[in-house]
Amino acid sequence: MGVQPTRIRLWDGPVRLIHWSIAGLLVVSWWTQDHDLMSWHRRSGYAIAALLAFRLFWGVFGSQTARFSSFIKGPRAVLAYVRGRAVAGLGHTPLGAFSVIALLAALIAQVGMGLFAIDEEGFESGPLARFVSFDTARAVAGAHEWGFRIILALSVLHIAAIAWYALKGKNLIGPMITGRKRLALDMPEPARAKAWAYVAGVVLAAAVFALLLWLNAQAHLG
Amino acid sequence: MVSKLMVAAVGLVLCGGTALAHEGMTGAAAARGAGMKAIGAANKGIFDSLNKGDDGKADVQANAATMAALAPQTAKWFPKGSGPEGGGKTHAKPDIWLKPAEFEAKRKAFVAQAVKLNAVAKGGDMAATRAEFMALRGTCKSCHDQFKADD
Repeated sequence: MGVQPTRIRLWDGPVRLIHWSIAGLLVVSWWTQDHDLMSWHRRSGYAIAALLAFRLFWGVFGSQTARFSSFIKGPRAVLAYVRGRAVAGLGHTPLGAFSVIALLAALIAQVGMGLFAIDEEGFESGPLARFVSFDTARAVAGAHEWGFRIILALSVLHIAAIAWYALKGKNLIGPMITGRKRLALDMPEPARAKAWAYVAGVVLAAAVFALLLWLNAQAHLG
Repeated sequence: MVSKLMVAAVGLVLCGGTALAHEGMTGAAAARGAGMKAIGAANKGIFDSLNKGDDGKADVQANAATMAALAPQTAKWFPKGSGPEGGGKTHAKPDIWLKPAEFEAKRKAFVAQAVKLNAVAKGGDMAATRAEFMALRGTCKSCHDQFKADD
């Protein structure tokens, strides 16, 4: 490592883009469901699925702070951090990593369930509902509704944590927008992702989105 | 065969009252819930089978027959006192009983369209059946928009 920057690239482009896109699409998903615009609700879900695929891929091939291996810690490390006995490095804290994983898992389950869900009347459904019975699809729809409540609760917790850090004088929102963070002490900048990974991530996301739109057409859905 | 079983099952529920009741539903509201659920299942069955082309024709016809058998039963599904005023869990809006003429017109439109769909489906023309099916959905939606509360 050569010169140590005082303002480093903390979050790469895909991490930030995926983060804010999913945040926006969650609002779109909620609003379209509430206003009976289910064609758009489906598209919003397909877009979230594509972004999740990109994020999972990025968790292995992305820049250092995006990688699961860099932020998923065992319970002992989380406990040490909570008790203030461990200093967090760059990126997600051990506790924040729990939040990331919980949100990702909830979102994956949610889009997965959406594919099979159907409404009470049997009018609107996900593209794979035709492969299951009405009763099964209705049960999945019930779970899909609960999934939203869980995601909402996790989001509130997520925002509350950010507000708490803000009160302690730590700005977490800025770096998630600009990608950059000012550091008091010199630390090496997180390793960046390879150029091919950017291409592969975009191709993967586009493929997932296209596949879901194709399934949508196959199911004769709007 | 399947459709006859379905109709028999729904009839059983209507007689038995709470046999297949939704959680929190009682009596007439529960029977209505079970009946509507059977209509929803037939609706899904028709839609899924219509999209299979000629392979789905028999299933479309069976489900259309189920629909036509279930639809007239709606006449018995909305007795006075089975609305939300009873404190039970139901999506039926009080307007059903406050505007009985409007409700009855919409209910009858649904029954007529279900009968028509069944007749056209029996004829075997799947394109014409699809058109009648979409019209049937229109009658469901028209009534639900006015008289059914959101989930």
